[in-house]
Formats: sequence, structure tokens, C-alpha cells
Amino acid sequence: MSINLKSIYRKIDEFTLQISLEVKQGELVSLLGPSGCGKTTTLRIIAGFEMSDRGTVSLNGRDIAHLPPEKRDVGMVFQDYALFPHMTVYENIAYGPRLRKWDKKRIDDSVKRFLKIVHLEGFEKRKTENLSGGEQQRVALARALVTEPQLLLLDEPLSALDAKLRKSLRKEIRRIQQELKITTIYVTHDQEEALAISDRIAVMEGGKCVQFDRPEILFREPSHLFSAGFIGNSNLIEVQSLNRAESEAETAIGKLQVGFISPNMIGKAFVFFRPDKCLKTNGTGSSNTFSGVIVDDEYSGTHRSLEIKVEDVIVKALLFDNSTCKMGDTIHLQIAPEDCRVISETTSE
Amino acid sequence: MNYTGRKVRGEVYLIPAFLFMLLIFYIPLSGILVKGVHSEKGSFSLEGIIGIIGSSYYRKILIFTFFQAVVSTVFSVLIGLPGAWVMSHYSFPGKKLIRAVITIPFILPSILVVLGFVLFFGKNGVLNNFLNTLGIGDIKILYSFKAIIIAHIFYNFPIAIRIISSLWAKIPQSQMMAAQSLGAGKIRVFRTVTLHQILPAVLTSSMIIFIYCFMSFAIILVLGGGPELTTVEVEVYRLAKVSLDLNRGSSLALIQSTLTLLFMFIYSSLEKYKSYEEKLLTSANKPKYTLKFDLKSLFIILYFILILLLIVAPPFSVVMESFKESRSFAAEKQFSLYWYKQIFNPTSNGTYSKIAFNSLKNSLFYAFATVLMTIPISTLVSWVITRKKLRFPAVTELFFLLPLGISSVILGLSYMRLSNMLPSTFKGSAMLVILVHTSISLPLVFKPVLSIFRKIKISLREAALNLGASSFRTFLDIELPLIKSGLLTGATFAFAVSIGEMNATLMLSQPGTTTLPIAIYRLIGSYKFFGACALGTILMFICLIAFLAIDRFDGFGE
Repeated sequence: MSINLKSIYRKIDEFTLQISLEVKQGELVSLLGPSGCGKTTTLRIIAGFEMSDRGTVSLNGRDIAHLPPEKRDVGMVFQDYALFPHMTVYENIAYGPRLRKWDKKRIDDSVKRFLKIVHLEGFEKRKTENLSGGEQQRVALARALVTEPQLLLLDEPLSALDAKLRKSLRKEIRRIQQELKITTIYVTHDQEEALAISDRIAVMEGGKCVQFDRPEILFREPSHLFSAGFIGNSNLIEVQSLNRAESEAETAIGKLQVGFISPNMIGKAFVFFRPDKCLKTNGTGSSNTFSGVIVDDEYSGTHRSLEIKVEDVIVKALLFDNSTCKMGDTIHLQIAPEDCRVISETTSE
Repeated sequence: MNYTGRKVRGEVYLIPAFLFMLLIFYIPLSGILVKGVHSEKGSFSLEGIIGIIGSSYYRKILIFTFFQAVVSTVFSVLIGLPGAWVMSHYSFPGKKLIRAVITIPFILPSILVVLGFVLFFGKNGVLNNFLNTLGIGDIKILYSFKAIIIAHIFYNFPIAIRIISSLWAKIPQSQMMAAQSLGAGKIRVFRTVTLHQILPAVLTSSMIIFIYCFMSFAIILVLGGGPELTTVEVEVYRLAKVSLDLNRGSSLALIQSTLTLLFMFIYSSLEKYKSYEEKLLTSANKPKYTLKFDLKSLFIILYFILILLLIVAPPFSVVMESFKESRSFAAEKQFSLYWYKQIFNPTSNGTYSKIAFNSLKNSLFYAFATVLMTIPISTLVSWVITRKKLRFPAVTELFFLLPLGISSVILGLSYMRLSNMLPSTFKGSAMLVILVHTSISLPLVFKPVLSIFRKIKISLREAALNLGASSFRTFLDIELPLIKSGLLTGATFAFAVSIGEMNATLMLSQPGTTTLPIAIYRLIGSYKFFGACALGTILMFICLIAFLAIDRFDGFGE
């Protein structure tokens, strides 16, 4: 089942959502962005709880925008799980099948099958309020999946759980999603989570999708200032002048050879590179090197996160533990041209 | 773009409830208020209003109404404060019992309080008999300002205990400790830290007590007496039922309603402090209080003995008296089930028997009918307010809560005027009584139902829709089971309000629509106390069951 959002437009007070998105059969796509970027609204439009002012939502080419939520056959896991408090775990999961008037045996078999999938065998008779957060989350997932909908929507499903549980549950979700080959849209504001489980990520900001790509591409080759800053740690150094022909950017830390210059830039331009791509050198004047004083040093076991003051700019660098340096030292760093990209605040599309 | 079902505006669903409310409350009431600003010839005129404000007779009544309400409020809060402190700071054996006992006044219809007071404080009452045996001699309390104030305190200091202690309990102990560690003494801590924090509760409880006392009716009507001890409520009743001066009654009602609505407005603006209250997180368990032989313990014990006596004695006197009979005027009273036999054996002739049985039957019928009228309307309105987009949600809510701000005497007066305009078959019809009970109890039913609807997370409803349930199915499967306790609480409130209601019913009263409170009132008036007590005990028993039911469903919101 593929889903296609075409020129969705929705205005709520001061906020405007404008998005087009195509998710392929069996794909897990994350909508990633800070709160208020429109990711949940997008999800609610797909589920039918919110209406769009313009645009179409189609499942496998069939327009569903006119259907009420109960007719869409789209599974959804809510941020607060929304388990029915007056029903047992079994009754919660069996609710959808019962509405569809399945026969008793089929309901029983399916509920048991999905309890097994989410590792909650034996929980049938439990009251949902006595379950832990993680268990509630699994019940919610089983309930959304048991009728085998064509599309699964997850609205920040792990945001209420602690960090350790979040990691193991996101693996579970990914495993189940791949087992069932169900097309899934996953809303999150946690970039690490999105990178870990998605086939593709739609980075959203201010009601717009600014970049839609595979996790590796988003991380290494952001085409947009917002996705560069939002995902992972990054250095963004303002460009003073740019020489496109020579692939050369003049910045406060010196002249840098770059591997990529965004073709359609508007507004200020920046050189982007990841801290882990910085290499420590002895300072012999090869190209793309710069020197500065270490102003912050944070040790994390495998790495050292340094902040280095180069002229008036702070550059972040991630060095392996065995590098010997301390606060106040002068350090020389080199960055390979292919790891530097020039991008801008906005792009013309 | 979207499917059509969503386009129906919330207001459309409200039309039936809206019309019903107009019919049972706004139209009758507007009749009276319009009449209040018209001269006898029918032209617009402020004569009536100006006449009342200009007359020293009515000014006195207005001033007395204020005065007794203020005095009652101050005493109720002062007497409630120590109780609030103990209840919020200590756990001790018997605390549950005390909590239950201070709930008694909530469930006692005012006519029963009156009856209990007459029996306990009366000339031949329990208290004076006791004092006589001690050789101290009579004290005269009844039919005086004192009696009014004591009855109001009886009714209202538990409200102060409840509201203030629930906030006081939430103030973290660490704040006091912090103040002490900074060098503040106990009194200073109370003045600079505690008082500021419990002030919202003191203010809200004062305001609600003031409103109750301002609108008090049965207590003033029976325990007051004479023109010096008359309040606006009683005067409206007197004008309508005794002087048959509906015009003047309407003008006075207009003044009264303006004042009560103003007080309600002040009260609801005080409620905004509630958000402040919620910020104070519940602190850890209260320390166990171990009794010591010191002044503090003595004070606590004396305090509770006194308030328990004050609360328990009047209703207890009613029950005791109901099992007594005296054969002749001078004879000794003796134990007897005579009055109960009379009530439940309607074939026996005798007016008491007939009136008593009919009033019981009527009261139960009106109470159940009131439940049936209020529950569907409250459910519909709450559902729409919490689930649909409305243009003016706050105004809509107010529209259904407004009867809270109109006294039941005045509502009774409006119905009385209305019944004069209707065909004579309506006069004294059960329908009018049921409708007036409905409009009085509707806000009290609506509130718990709305609040429980608000507690249901929207996502539950959305999850059901998402799983394929229709809107109606979602209501049946998900919302209805979850609001059940709120509905039961609301239903019990409606039942209790209807069965204890005297004021509006008295205004409308005709021989065929006598209810338990009316029958008790009439029996008190003709000094038939035993019979009144038997009916009173039955009424009390019904209220007790209702109270236990509410406590079970809802725990009174605790």
C-alpha cells in the first residue's frame, strides 16, 4: 500500500501546513521536526481527524479525503496510547475485529497472534491501567495492527518512555513493521530515533517538508541549513565570499575547498561539516587546515568533544580518545574538501 | 474537502437542549423580570424598583439579609478553620467518622434542619430539658437572630472545613520548614506563608457560604419571625403567597436576582485561584497524631465533641421524636410506631395518614421524574461542549449553569405566574413541579457530567473511530462506560435536590402536589411534631441513601 499526499494545504490560525509526500509500499517514513512543525497535523489529516483545506490524500491511488476516520482502515498508535481504561488487554485488541463482526474464532486467533508478536502472551485478562508504559505501548501497537490495516500511523509512540526502553521498543517496532511489511508513517522529534529506524525521513520545519531522503544522505549530505542543524552535531561557518568555479569558500576560519555547493541558494550561505570529520594535524601548511585554542573539552569514553576557538568562531571537533590535548592548548585541524558542503538558509524550488 | 458529517456545527446538536432550557427556565423567569420593570397598567416603569429602594421597610430587609449572611459567614469560617487545620494535618482514629459526620449537613434538606432545631433548642426541647434537670433553667434560642445564625453555621462550617482543608493539605510541609529554618516563629510562619496559601480557599468558601445564607429560605421562614428577622427571600414569598402582590414581589425578585448573580460572578472569578491550588502538589502522608495530655490535644478533643454535638443533635432529635406518641395533651410521651403505621397504611382514615402517604408518593415520583429529565439533557450538552467546536463554549456552559444564580423561591414565583396564565388544568399539576425541580437541579447534574466528560481523553474517542467505530458506537462503547460514575452522581444529585426541595414547591403548592418537605412544614406549622418527625426520618433516610450512593460513585470528588 502506498500513500500519496498531494499539495496538502491547511491553515490553522497563524500556522500553515503545506506538504506533498509519497510513501512507497512497505516503507517506514519518519516525519521529523521540532514541536509545532506540522508533523502531527499531517498525521491527523491522513487519519481523518483533521481536514485539509486543499489537496488530496490517496491510498493506492484511491482518494480517501472524503472518508470519515472510521472508514479509512488506517491503524494508528496515539502518543498517550489511548487504551480504553474500562477494557482488558484482550478487549482492547479485540475491539476493532469485533466492530468488523469477525467470528469468535478468528478474533481469538488474531488477538493471540498479535499478543505474541508484541511479546505479551498471557496478558489477556490484565487491566490496562496496571501495565507499565512499555507494555501499554505494545498493547496499543497490537490493537492498531490486529485488523491488518493497509497503513500504520505512529504519533510519537515512544515519547512517554525512558531512554533505555525507547531504544529497545523502537527496534521492536521496526522488526514488526518489517515482518508485516506494513507501510508506516512515524512522527517523532527525536532525530536519533528517526535515523535508527527509518527508510526515509521527511524533515519538517514551519509547516513545510524541507528535505525528504534516506537517513545517511540526510546526515552526510544535508541540502538545507535546517536539516543540517537539526540532525546530529554540525559546524556551520558563515561564508564571506564564494568562488563557484574553484569550489572555494572564504570564511572567518580561512579559505576552504568544498566538495559541494548548493545550486539554488537564497540568503546567507554556510560551510557545513561534521565534527567527526575533523582530523588533528601537526599544522604543516597544507590546504583546508586551521588552528585554534581549545576552550571546551568533554570526555565521553570513546571520544573527546572539543570546542576550538578559531579567530572569533567556535568549531566543534570530535576526536578519538587517544588524542592528547588539554584546555588552552593550540590545536591544528584539517577537514577534507569532500566533507565540506555549502548550503543556505532557504532554497529556491 | 472533508466528508459532510463533520460540517454539522456543534450548535445544531444543542438546539433541543437550548429550547428545553428556554421553556423551563428562561421564559418563566423573564416573565417575572419583565413584570418587575412594568407598572400595573403595563407600561415600562421603574416605579416598583424605586419604590422598594426608597422604602425604609425594604431597605431594612435588604440590610438585614446582608447582615445575617455576613455574620453567618464569618462564624462558619472561623469555626471551620481549626477543623480544617486538624483534618489537613493529622491522621487519627475516628477521622473517617468525623469526615462522614461533617457531611451530614450537605444532605439534610433545610426543613429537616429547621425541625431538628425546633426539637433540640425549643422550649421543651432536648437542650432545655437537660439544662432544667441540671437546675440551670431555660435558655431561649428559637425564633431569634441567634437561631438563624446557629442554623446557618450548622449548615455551612463543614463547607469551610472541606474547601480549606483540601487546599491546606496540599501545602508542602517543606515550605513551613524552610520558613522556620530562615528564622520565622510559628505565628510568623502562619501569617507569612500559610495564610497566603490558604487564602484562596478561605475566600471561595466564604463567598459560597455567603451566597447560601443570602438565599436561605426555610431557616429564616420558620426560625426567624416577625418583620425584624425577615430576608428578601422570605419577603418575596410573603408578597406572593400572603399579600398576593405579584407586582411588588416581581420587583423585589428582580433586585434579589441581580444581587445573587453578581455574587455568583464574584464567586466564579474567585475560582480562577484554583489553577494556583493545583500547582501545590500533594505532599506526603500526614503524621499520625498521638494524643498527649497537653492543651493542644484538649482543644482538639473539645472542638470535635462540640461540633459533633452540634451536627448530630438536631437530626438525632428528629429520629427520636418520631418514635414517640402522647395519648393526651398532658400525658407522658411513650415509645410508639404509631406514626409509621399511619404513613404506610393508607387505608386508615385520618388526614395525617393520607397527606403523609401522598406526600411520600409524590416526592418519590417527582424525584425520579427529575432524574429522567436532567440526565439526557446534561449528557447531550456535556457531549457537545467537550466534543464539538462551538463558537462560544463558555457562554454555552453559562447558559446551562445560570439557574444556580437564581433563588428557588424566585423560580417558584415565575412558575406561579406562569401557571396563572396557563389553562386551569395546569394549576397544581405535577408537571409544573417536575419542571421547576428540573431547572433547579439541572446545573448540579450538568456539572459532574461535564467534568467527567472533560476527563475522558479525546484520543480515546479518536482511537475508537480509528478502529472503525461510528460516532454513535464510540459513544456507546467508550464514552458511556467511562461517564457512568458521573451520570450516577448527577442522577443522585437530581434525586436528592428534588426530594428535599421546598422553596419553589411551596410557591407552587396545591393540595394535590404536596411533597415530603411541604408536609413537614405544614405539620410544624400546626405543632404536630411527632408526625413531622416520622416523615422527616423517612426523608432523612432517603437522603442518607442518596448520600451513600454519591459517596460510592464519586467520593464527593475526593
